[in-house]
This record gives sequence, structure tokens and C-alpha cells, in this order.
Amino acid sequence: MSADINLSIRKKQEKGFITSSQVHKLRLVALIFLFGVAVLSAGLFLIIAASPLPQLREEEQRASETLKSQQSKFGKYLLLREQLSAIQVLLNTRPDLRKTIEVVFAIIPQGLQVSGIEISEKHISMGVSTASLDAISSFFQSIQDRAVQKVVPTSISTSSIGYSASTGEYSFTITFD
Amino acid sequence: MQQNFSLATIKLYYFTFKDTVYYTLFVICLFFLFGIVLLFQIVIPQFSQWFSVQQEVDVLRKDIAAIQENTRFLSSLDEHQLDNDLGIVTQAYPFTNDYGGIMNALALASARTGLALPNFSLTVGDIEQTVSPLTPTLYKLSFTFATDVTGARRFIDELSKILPIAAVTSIANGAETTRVDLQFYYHGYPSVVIDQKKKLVSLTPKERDLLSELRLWQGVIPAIGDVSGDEAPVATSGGAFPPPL
Repeated sequence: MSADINLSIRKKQEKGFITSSQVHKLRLVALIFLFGVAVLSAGLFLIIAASPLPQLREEEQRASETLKSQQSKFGKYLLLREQLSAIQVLLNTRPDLRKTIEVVFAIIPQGLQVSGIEISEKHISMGVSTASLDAISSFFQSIQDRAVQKVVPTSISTSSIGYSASTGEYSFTITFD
Repeated sequence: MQQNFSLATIKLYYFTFKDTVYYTLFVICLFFLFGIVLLFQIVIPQFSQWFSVQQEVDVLRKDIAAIQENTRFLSSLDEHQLDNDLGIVTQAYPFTNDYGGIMNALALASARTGLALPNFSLTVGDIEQTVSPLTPTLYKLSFTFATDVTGARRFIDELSKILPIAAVTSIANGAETTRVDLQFYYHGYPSVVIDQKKKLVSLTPKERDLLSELRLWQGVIPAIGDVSGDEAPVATSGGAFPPPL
């Protein structure tokens, strides 16, 4: 009880704990901190409130409405592009036998007659006849050259070469797979 | 316990400590506490809100620019030309089995090569069939022409430059005739999603070239009755030749 009312002793104790100037400094720091936080908060509030977001939303809405008036053109243009890319793919993948026909006819030498031909994407079969053995030799040489160049399929088979005494012609069938 | 927190007790503490350093320290602590609460509860969320607002502003600005650019781009397009181009690409690769287009293509190729078309029939098939928009559906036909491979080749050449797009899958040449197997393509309607914010770009040079090529392939359709050829037609599949479209 006596310690509580003895102001002289308490002041001494206080002096030992924290000085008056330190308290002042601490109070100043606390005030500045609080003030700073308040100012920062108010500032951020104002910055956010002043952001152009609502105006931009309205502008976007207006721009979108304007574009909606061209909706049909928009759809047509997108469809055109879709179709063009689909057509491009189609043209790149569709079988083109014209090149195959060109290649096949390029390897047939003079004097060799094609009696029948069957061409599909991965298969060529043709019946040939000739009276000249030189033409047959030239034909095989030509096929061999093209096969090396990989212009014709490399899997090639031929039937036995038949000879007809009545016509004097050799005939056989050759197949490329 | 109740007495400890009564108003009188608080008053007693206040009057006891109000002139001491403890009171000042208590108030300072309160200030710091209040400041920290403000910082974490208001300022930091405001910061994150500000960042998200900034991000949204950036996105909106980009979107508006894209929409305005798309509007300008579409305004610059001639709708009549667009309709024409769309008509060409649709004719080239139709969304349904285009029997009329197929017959016109055959008639045109026949007229250009002077090769008479044999009698043929087109099978309509299941018209409610679901067609994929992504993969082409094939419509196959087979003709036997009274010609050699050279004649058939001319026909194939011409057919490859006529719409709708067709492909010859096989050729078989016999003694006096040539069988040609053809296929035409069609596909389902692609799902076109209009995204206003996606920037439209003009056709690439490759696409423009393709479109020009397709325009060239869009030939004038002759009256089918006018088709005449040097070689006599050979019937393959039964059915009368269809009337001109």
C-alpha cells in the first residue's frame, strides 16, 4: 500500500523502465504509423474509385452493340475461313491419280502396247504386249530407274512372260503395290 | 470477475494510471494495434483490389481495341463479295450431299472433254444421316466410258478443276472402255463460334490463292442435253439421265 502511494519511488521505477522522451518518440511513431495507414487507405480508396473501369465497361458494351449489328457478316467470314481451311486439307489429302497416270505412261517405251491398266491410289496393274524383246528390256530398265528414284512403288511383281506364236507378241502383267 | 470489468473498475484504473507512463504506453499500443488492424483488414485488401482493377482495365482495353478493330475490319468487307466467296467455298465442299452440284460437275467435265457420260443414277441414301463437320463424308460414283485411258485422263483433268471437289480413286481400262471410280465430298456444318474479342485477321495469301483457284473452277454449267461426245456412252448403273438443273 505504501509503495502505491509513494510517488517518488514510482517515478524512479518508471525512469528505469522507459524515459519520457522515449515515450514521446514512441507516441510520435504510433501516430505517424496510424496516420500513414489511414492516408494510404484513403488514397487507395480514391484511386480505386477513380479507376476508369465503369467507363470502360460502358465503352465495351457500346462497341459490342456496334459489332452485333455486323453479326451476320462476322459469321459468314468465320465460316468462309473454316471452309477454306477444310478445303485446303481436302485438296492435300484427296487422291490424285493424274500424277500416277503420268508416271505410268512415262515409263512405257516405244513398241510396247498397254492392253489393260488398273490404277488406284496404292496399286497399279497393267497388261502389256510387244513383239520386241528390246522394248521389254527397256521397260524393265525404266521401271528399275523409277523405283530407285521412288517415283513408282518399289514392290513390283510380274506374271510369266507369255509368247503367242500366232501374233508373234510377248505379253505379261506387271503389278506395283 | 464481474466487478473487475465494471465501469467503476475501469474508471478506477483510468484515474489511477492516467498520469503515469503506463497509460501513455497503453494508448500507444492501441494506436499500433488499430493501425495494424487497418493495414491487414483494409489496406492490404485494397491493394489486391487495386491490382485486380488494373488487370481488369488492361483486359477491357484490349477487348475494346479488338472489338473496334473487328468492327472496322468487317465494315471494310464487301458483303456481296463475301456472299459470293462463301457461295464458292460451299459449292466446293458442300454441307449436304449436293446432287445438283455433282450432276453439274459431271456434265461440265463431259462437255469440256467431249466425252459422253453414260447413263447413271445417284443414290440419295439416308437424308437424315448425321454428318461430321470435321471429317469429309464421301459420295461414291462409278462410270464406264467408251474411251481409252487418255480420254479418261482428260475427263479426270477437267473434273479436278470443277466444283464440287471430286477425286478419282481408281481407273480400270479394258479393251474399249475405261471404268472411273469417283468420289465427291461433303461435310456437316462446322460450329462457328463468334467471339467478338478474338481479333479477326484477313485471309492469308495461301487462302486468297485457294479462293482464286476455286473461283476459276466455278465454271459455267452447260445444259446437260447439249453434252455430246465422240465416243458412245456405255451404261453402267441403271437409271435415266437426270433433267437439266
